[in-house]
Amino acid sequence: DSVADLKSWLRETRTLKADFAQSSAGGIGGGKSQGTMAISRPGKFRWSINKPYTQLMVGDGSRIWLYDPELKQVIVRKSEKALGGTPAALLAGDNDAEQRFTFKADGEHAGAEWVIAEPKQNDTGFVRIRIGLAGNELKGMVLEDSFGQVTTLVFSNVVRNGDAPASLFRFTPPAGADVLKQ
Amino acid sequence: CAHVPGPEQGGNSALQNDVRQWQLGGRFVAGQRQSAAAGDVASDPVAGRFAWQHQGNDDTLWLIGPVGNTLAKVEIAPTLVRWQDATGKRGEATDLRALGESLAGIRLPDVAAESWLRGRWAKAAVHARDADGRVLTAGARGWVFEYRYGAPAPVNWPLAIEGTGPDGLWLRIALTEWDGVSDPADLPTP
Repeated sequence: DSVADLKSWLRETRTLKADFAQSSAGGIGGGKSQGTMAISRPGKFRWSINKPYTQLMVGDGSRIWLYDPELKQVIVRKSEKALGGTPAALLAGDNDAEQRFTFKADGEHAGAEWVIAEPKQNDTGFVRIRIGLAGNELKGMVLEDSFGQVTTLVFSNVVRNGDAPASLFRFTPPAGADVLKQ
Repeated sequence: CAHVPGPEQGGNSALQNDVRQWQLGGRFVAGQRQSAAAGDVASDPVAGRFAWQHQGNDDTLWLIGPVGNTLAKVEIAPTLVRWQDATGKRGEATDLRALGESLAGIRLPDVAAESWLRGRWAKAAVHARDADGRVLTAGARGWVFEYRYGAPAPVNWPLAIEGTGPDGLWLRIALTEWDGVSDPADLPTP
């Protein structure tokens, strides 16, 4: 059953690396980006956008750093405040996904078995997160927010439980960047 | 927020109408540095992704999360600003400046978006232009804005904006989407 499969996949996933392509529709429409992501459970992740602009987000387990080279700016905030019931919490959180989300099967399509995860807190801004697995490979996620905006993440070149050096999940502000705390 | 249409744009009303409807998207960071007396300490900033839709006298500002989800929607009319966030909270303010101050403690420019964000200013407000006549520096109400142009922005659209305002207010904007186009390769074939 796809829900049980997803739960065991989450439990057994220690690290994950992949390329992603993000596109959004509905709401304001538009909005595309591409990049790479890495996860080291629990709590560490790296989300690196490289097109159409460069932006890096690193969760080191206690804080989340957001670095925008073009704006010469680093924003740092506490992990718990930012993660909540978001997709990052689902993928990179500790094994308490069942406390944060309710799960239900959503059938097979686009070459993957899909599960719907609905945040239990209603202040996350997300109405529903769909996760698609093909066996043990993460294929995609579809995020629906309360404005009707649907964001699709397609993953490729996925490496699960491979080498993910600790340096990937550390961030040191570059010289000259404004470091701003939220 | 008093809307000062950019009289720079002359021409017939059809063009005027079309010209007064646009959409921009990108990333922003805004903050307020204390005055010199209190030491140059950066106060809590606000930052994120945004989309801005302008239509006639009304504007809609969308605040967007890192993975593309919507965080909040702000509807800006000449005499009222309404906002709603993704968790369902709602509110109103007399103008964008008051809203920014109440929600984030940052006063946003009380200048028409057609001017400060789109870069179309009344002639008297323009301080400098480039060789192609595009506004490089302009200002109003204690704000001064500097514009950068260049790919991938379409020729008459800004690529980046830096603003400095009264009482140590500042903002930086990097634009990535112009009327729904972000990548030249996306341009519809003529």
